[in-house]
Amino acid sequence: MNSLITNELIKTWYRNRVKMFLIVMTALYLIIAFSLRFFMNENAIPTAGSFLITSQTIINGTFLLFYGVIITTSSITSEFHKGTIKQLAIRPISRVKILASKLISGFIALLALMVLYNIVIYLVSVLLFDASNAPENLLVTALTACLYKIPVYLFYLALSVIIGTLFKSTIIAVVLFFVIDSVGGMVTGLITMLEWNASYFIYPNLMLESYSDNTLINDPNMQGLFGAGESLTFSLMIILVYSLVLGAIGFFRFQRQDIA
Amino acid sequence: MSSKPLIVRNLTKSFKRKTIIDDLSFELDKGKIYGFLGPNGAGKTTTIRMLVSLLHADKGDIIVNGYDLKKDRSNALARIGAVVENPEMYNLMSGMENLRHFARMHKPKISQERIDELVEFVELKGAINDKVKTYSLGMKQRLGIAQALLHKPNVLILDEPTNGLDPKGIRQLRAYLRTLAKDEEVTVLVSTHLLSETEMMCDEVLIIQDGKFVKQFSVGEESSDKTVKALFRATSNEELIPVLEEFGTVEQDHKYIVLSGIQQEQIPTIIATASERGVLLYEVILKDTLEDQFLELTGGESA
Repeated sequence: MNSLITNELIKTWYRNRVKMFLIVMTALYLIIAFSLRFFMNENAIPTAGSFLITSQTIINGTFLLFYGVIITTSSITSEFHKGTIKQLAIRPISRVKILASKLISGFIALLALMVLYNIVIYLVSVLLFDASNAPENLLVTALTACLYKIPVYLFYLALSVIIGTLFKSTIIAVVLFFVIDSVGGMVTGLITMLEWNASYFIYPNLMLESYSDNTLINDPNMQGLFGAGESLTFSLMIILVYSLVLGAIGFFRFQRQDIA
Repeated sequence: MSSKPLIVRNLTKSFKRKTIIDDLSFELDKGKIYGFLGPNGAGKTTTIRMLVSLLHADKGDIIVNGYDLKKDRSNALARIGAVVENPEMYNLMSGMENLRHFARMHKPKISQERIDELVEFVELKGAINDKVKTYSLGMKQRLGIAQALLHKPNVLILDEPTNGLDPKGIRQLRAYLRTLAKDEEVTVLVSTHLLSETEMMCDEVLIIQDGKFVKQFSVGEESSDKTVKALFRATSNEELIPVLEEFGTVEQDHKYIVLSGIQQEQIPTIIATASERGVLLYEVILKDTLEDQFLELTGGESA
């Protein structure tokens, strides 16, 4: 299994141009951070705390998640498009293991990027911006915010697996990602308006930050906007159930299908 | 353990209620090269895909070195090496990275020495660290063969391996396969539509049509008791025709005189008779006998 994951990580490095992603993302982030710090009106410069949490929301919640979805989906779809899936499926290794190695390596790649970028985010926030009046310990805040994102990553990668195996299309995965990300709130609102219980819908349960008592992570002004689920454990269970069901369908499909 | 490296029994597969492979059975022997022939749509590729577990058979058994592909998938697949259709590789990685990638998928671990040995064998040493996207089709084919041999399989399956190869490449491939069959006792199953190629490359021929088994025979053996065709070119073709007409049916080609319906053993007599009558021969070509047999067996459709 380890060697399969090694294979997948190597292919990801080449296929998804990780080097390019790292360079562009880091450069953009640094340019934005420096512009905010040095070209903005003195009074409007954000504090370290708010810069930290905004960066994390944008990078962890959108860019990395999005990239992780692409990495995982394309690790499945590109094998089909290029025909290399045949070379994998004729090895004395079960198809379940092949797909599992793709899911796990997608997760590893995403976590590695998360660790890397959050170190950058933390350092930039603390070194460039004013951290003297922070209401919370910024290091603890940065770590906690990351932890809240991990179950969300799990859900989206399970979604990637099912889309990769059922539709063999990275584009559908990308579109669905944006749909869930942007329409999810509206649908939740709609369900609530119709006085149905939105707790079992996945979207509100992905807002794990709303369970935090850290005032930076769980901004009181934002509370209730998305109609959070019932409790942290409840939301984690919902995420787990959705992920398992999606993953199981994907694995079942991959196991049974004829490769032409 | 069965002594046969590959046994196929009552294999059946349908797509959308259309039967593609119909109760197909055959057995292959150790260290022989088999040509897998059939008209287009006969089910060659479908059969091959079932042999390597890309497609699931509806019915029937595939037994590789005594291991049932259905019940003991990884043991069976560990003994098969294959290139199915085009040798698709990871284009952004080098040839060596591709080989290492596939090597990691086998147990026990495949040594770097084994990889180097194969690179040497398929003569890719100079280009092995270049990205695969820079490779010619012939080089990709050779890399494909190398990756199929990494784990020292007992059975090597090649689907249309001569597609897109130039004559030199085809000759090389023939040499590789001969060496493998002779020195390492690998059983090779080659699907192809080039009959002349098959005749030169293979020990035995396996013909299927409409998903059914038609015939399996040795390439050399069968042709001796069959009637054959021969092409003649003489100092004077006009004078040769009456001579040949004594032996069989004569047709005039643009360059050759085609004599059909003769036995292969008659040819020396024919040559002697012609020279006795003062007609001297430049060339006598024994025509592609496999092609004739093939057409006869499959009812005239081309391969």
